[in-house]
Amino acid sequence: MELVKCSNLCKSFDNKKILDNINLVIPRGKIIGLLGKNGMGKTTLLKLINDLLTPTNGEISINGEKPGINSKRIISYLPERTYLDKGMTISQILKFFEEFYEDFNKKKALKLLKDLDLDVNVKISKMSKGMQEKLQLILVMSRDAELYILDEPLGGVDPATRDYILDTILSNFNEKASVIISTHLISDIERILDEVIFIDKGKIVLTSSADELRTKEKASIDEIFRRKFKC
Amino acid sequence: MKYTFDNERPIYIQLVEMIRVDIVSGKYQKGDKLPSVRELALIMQVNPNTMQKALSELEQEKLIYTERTNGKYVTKDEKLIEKTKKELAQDKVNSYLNSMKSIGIDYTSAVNYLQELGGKDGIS
Amino acid sequence: MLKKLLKYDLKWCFKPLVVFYILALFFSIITRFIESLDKTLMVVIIDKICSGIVIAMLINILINCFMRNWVRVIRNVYKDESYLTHTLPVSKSKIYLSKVLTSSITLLVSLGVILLCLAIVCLNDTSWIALKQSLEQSAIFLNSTIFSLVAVLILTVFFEFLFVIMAGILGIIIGHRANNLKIIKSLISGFSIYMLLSICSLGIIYVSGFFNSDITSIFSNMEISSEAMKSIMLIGTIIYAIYIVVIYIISNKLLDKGVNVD
Repeated sequence: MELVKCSNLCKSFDNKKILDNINLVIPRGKIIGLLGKNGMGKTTLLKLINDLLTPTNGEISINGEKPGINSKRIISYLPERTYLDKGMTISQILKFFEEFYEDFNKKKALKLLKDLDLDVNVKISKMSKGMQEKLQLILVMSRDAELYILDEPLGGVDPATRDYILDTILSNFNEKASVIISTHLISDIERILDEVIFIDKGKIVLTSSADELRTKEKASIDEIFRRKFKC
Repeated sequence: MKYTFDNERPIYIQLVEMIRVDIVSGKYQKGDKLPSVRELALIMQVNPNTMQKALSELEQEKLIYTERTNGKYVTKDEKLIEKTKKELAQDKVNSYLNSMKSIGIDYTSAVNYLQELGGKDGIS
Repeated sequence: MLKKLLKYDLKWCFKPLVVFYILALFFSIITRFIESLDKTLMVVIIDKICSGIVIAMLINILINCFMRNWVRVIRNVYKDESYLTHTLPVSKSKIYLSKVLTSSITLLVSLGVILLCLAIVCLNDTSWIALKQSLEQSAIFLNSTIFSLVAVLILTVFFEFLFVIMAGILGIIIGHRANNLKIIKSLISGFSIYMLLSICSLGIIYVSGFFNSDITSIFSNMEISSEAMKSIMLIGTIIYAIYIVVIYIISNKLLDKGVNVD
């Protein structure tokens, strides 16, 4: 059974179509890049898979079921915003994750936090936005999930942080799991991708294996993307 | 050590080339155990799936072999390593001669230039 | 999972309320103490100030109890934090149930603290006897016991306030089904639901007047007899209980259809 399958998926806001007839299958055990310019529907698609939006039309199935309790057990999602209760401390947040997610590996999270020299007794509101984002990445990658969904994990970070984030993703994702990474910064991330999905104006315009695409077009994914969507 | 990739060519082919160089240059000695796929992927900051593909390619070339339970090892076949080294050397020589040719230097002069400008250790 | 949700909801809602509880109790005790002193001008002024603060605190507790529960729903179910709430392996019904239980518990505790503060400030030998007497009188008048009278009184107040909070939450749920002006639409729909159902309850009491002569007299000659009082309290409690159940079912259904967070 497919890990994720979208059939004829549409999403509109006030009659404005954000996603238009998406048909997509996400395989297991792959790192997949969801590539598109800003405002083309990447986040909307990811929010639909995470049950944060309700489809206007069409269906999503995760392991053959509609998004719900079972899909949430196996999906670890990093949104592009900070979503933690700012009044809580890191150790309280760790406890929260441990209580709600059976697959949360607290030891791993503590080790990753130690690498960052983060004190677990510090309040979220006292942390910089960049640190909060790193904390969220650690929380998300410390789950032994079947699917990791990372929305713009590299948005506006410096090269050192970018390496840290890529390292954290690569060294922590469960081998049987899939990872979906949405981004518009393709060159930073393309070397770790198995598959790429190009999304433009709410439609899927291309899905391919990354290396096959490079061989076929004799260019980098970034270059191919630029050619295709010239501004 | 930071590995940089040329995004225009398939990553696995570049990995094959890099590991091949690591073997002929002696970074991985003959008979050495290689790090696991996951570790190698981490060292080179690539996807484990891609690394797996690169290692199978090297295995087909017989430069590495798998011991059923213990992981992957560099070949003990010295001749094969020498042969690979020679192939790589051939490529380098070709590209040296070609670039000399492009600035109007023929084969004999190119060899002379190499001796004259190459210095004792071969590196100026 | 419900227990865990409830734990975090309660913690969040009670955090500032507890501060107000402590302040209210503290000033109640001070007021009580000052009232026991000789009545010099200074003491009278301080007494007035303190009892003013107590009243302000009690109102504060009630308003905050309402607001805190509404803000919790907006933040936890529709704003940034909703990205975590809705990706927890918990059903939307449980999330909603936890909010309703949190509202009920915070409301009960707040009402308890308010009563306690009033008792600290006002209750002494004479007022206790007076209160007891008037309660006894009403109880005899209404053909019931003091205990059931007090219980029905508290229940009516509790149901009425819980109805207000839940109408507000339903308003928030309806308002956030829209794609813009969500807060304004929440306010409008919450207020409309409250007004509509309140008018409805007046209507029901009026209609019930056709079957109950005591109630008819309220509308015909503006007199509230004790019998009418009893009937109205009974009908009122039942009406609010029904409203609460209806609002619960509707909210649950709407939420279960899915959310669209910002």
